[in-house]
Amino acid sequence: MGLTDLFTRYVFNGGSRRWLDAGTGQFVSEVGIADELAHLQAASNRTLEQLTKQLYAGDIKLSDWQLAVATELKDAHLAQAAFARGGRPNMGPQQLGRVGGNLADEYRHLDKFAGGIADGSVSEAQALSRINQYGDATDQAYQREWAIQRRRPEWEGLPTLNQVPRDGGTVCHGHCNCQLDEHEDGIHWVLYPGESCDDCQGLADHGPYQPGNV
Amino acid sequence: MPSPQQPDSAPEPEEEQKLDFGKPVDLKRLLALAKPDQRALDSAIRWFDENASDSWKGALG
Repeated sequence: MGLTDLFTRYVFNGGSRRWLDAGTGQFVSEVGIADELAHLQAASNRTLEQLTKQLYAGDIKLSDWQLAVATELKDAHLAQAAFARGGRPNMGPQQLGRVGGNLADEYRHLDKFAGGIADGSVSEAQALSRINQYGDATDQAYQREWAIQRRRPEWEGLPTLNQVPRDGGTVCHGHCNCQLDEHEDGIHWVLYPGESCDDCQGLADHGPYQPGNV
Repeated sequence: MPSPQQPDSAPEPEEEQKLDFGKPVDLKRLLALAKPDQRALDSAIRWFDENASDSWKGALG
């Protein structure tokens, strides 16, 4: 049995719906969470890149690649959603269903991607660039579950937020480090300096929001 | 002495060999995989414990 089976440093506070550092008694900062999300995204990207290199080296077949990519995406999306929800006990049928719907969209894109590889129209360099978008997009599962939990009666009347960072609905296709942040006056779309597209800029300008149909 | 003739089927030197990746998986099979259940959640929690920073391992329960 490892140490992590006996003790975890972070516990989820159900009232505030935020992670608490059990050692210090302080909430984990948004920067701390963003760092961990980036760490998880990087792990997915490494796996997806490795699989894609194996495919173009002829080590695995396209069908094996597709199934391995699909499995990696499923693990990563579900883990990110569970991270936003505070862990396994808070992942019910509704949350699982939402992740499943989103995964189905990702798999439809993957199907077209695989078709392009099969007919030779996608080079290895293009495939490696494109597979990174799938790894980056795993973070949307976190953003979506995080936003849905942030509902307050006093926010009624605010514009509704119907998309989240990395969901592919912006011109940058999620190639940004935008984050959502909760303030007293609503949810803010926070830009990362120097890299935001016009859509992200518009979303930041039109807040604060109440969660909508994300 | 004449140089040996290349067979007709030999590719042009600059032509890239087309890779045979095999057939892609049927979309229906992929979409069936998209439905998460408790077993998939177990797998995702294991994935998190393998890939998270040391201080976060085990946090999802």
